[in-house]
Amino acid sequence: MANILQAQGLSKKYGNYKALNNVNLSLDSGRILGLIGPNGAGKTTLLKSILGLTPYDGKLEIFGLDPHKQRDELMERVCFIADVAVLPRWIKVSQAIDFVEGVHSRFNRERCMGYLAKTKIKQDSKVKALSKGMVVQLHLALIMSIDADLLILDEPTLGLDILFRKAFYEQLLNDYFDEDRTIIITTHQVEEVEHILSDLVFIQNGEIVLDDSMDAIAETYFEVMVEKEYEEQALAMNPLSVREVFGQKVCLFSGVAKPHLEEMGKVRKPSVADLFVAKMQGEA
Amino acid sequence: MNTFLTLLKREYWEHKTGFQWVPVGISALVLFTSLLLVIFFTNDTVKVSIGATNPTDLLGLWEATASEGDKNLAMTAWYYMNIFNLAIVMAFVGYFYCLGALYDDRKDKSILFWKSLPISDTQTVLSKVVSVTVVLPLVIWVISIITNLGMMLIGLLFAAMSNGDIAGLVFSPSAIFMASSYQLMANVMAVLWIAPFIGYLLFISSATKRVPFLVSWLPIIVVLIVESIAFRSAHFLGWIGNQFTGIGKAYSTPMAMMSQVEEEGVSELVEVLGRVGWEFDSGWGSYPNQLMDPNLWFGLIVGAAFIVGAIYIRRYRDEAL
Repeated sequence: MANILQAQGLSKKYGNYKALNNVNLSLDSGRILGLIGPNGAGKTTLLKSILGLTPYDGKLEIFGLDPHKQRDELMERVCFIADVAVLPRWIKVSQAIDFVEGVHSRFNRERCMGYLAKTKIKQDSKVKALSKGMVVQLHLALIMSIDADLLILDEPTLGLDILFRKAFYEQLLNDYFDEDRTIIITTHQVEEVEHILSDLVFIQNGEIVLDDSMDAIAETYFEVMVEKEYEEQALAMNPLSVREVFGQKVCLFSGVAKPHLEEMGKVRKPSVADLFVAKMQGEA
Repeated sequence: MNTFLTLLKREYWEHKTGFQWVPVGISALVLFTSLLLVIFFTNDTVKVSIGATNPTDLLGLWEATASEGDKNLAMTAWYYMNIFNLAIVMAFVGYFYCLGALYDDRKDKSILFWKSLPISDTQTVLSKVVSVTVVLPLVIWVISIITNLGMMLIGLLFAAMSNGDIAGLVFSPSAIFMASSYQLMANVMAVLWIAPFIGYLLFISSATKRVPFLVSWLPIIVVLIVESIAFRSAHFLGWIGNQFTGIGKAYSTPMAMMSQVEEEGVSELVEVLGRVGWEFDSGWGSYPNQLMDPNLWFGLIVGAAFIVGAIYIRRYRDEAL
């Protein structure tokens, strides 16, 4: 497992506003990183920096390349779908495929055709004649047919129905992903991606508030349905968050041994969404 | 080079309407009008002129007591004139193409799709430069050749309807060949003269945040006003005028060149051309003369500088949009 991404003291200011503040991040190949944060937290700025679309302060290396200065070389190995990216409206589906085939040596036409065969998209339609969901499907089919070392997906399934979202993530995991590839995903629908992630990063106000592998998180964070008689004891142990479900307190603990917690009630793995809410409220 | 070829194809796909169908439509309209003229106005007393070409003028040519060679030259000139309609189309298409070239994809955000592929911004911008300076003039040229052939057919129809004797005059492959090669040369020279403005418009297209059409006029007007107030001079306007005169020269030089082919034919050619409503100035010299004009080279350098600027902005703009 080679290191592919290395960020040290990465900062980005817009005037006085700090979009990224001293971010340190490291990522190995063969991982799927979920980058989660509220709106305006700096996710997009971080991705833009990684993609060489914006200048920044601090050190950042992707495959040993400086993304801003060596963007052309980087883009041979990196592919992305930006959250606001759209395919040009005038292009025909067949032209889009011809174009990507013409400019990208790692594009696999059969593969793309295979993905498209599962949709209702016709080869001779123009993008402007496709529905919003179909445009996303086409975009994903094009990008997933490129044998990229690093794939960055910023809200890739925005505007798609649940059936397609499920199918997409399955496809991403089964057909696309392997140990040589790395994927970075941002999304608001955390619950849909958490089962495919290997690493998790929370970002808020331009700072990273959590950066761990899913395995480590599973060993660190526990959620306890606290029995009534242990409530005070539980609250005294500084839970990250407390919420109430059917009159019973649910406490989220970090770094407390599991057997210890089991005495107080039913212990389970917190969902990423709950962990996210707890972390964000704690930091705010 | 596959990447660059693909980029050129992309430009053509996107701008097929302007690059191909608009000039084809205009040429078709001119041919159709000429056809109507031939059918409805073929007699000695009615003369109607629409555009630069008017088949009824052939009658005047036939009556001239010119030699075969001069008549052939006049025919060449008559065919050549098709380029004027197309040059105007090319100017409009090229202007709006340049304004949108590096702006439209930022506006609709598809730039993020293009930028997700391994294409350098230099390649992207150069593909737009080549599209407007090479692809567009070549397409226009092909259409002008077809138009020449169309004019020949209409001329033959005219001959059949009025005076069969001029059929041999109209059916002149050498005249069409000469006219077509002049049309190509004129397009090439016009592009060289217009180059600084192509560079300028691409730069505006790359730099502006909104309404490139208005923004493209603003700096020119500001410079004109500032110069006239601060220095009480109009060198900038003079320079612009000179470049556009160059374009005029580019398209009229073939007329002058044709007159130089056969020295003794000049006076008669002038007379004949005068009758078809065309004047020429042999003082505008030849293409080699224009190629040695320092103004042309200065313009090319200005154009290149603007293009470098356009690439730089597209590459290093803080926000990709």
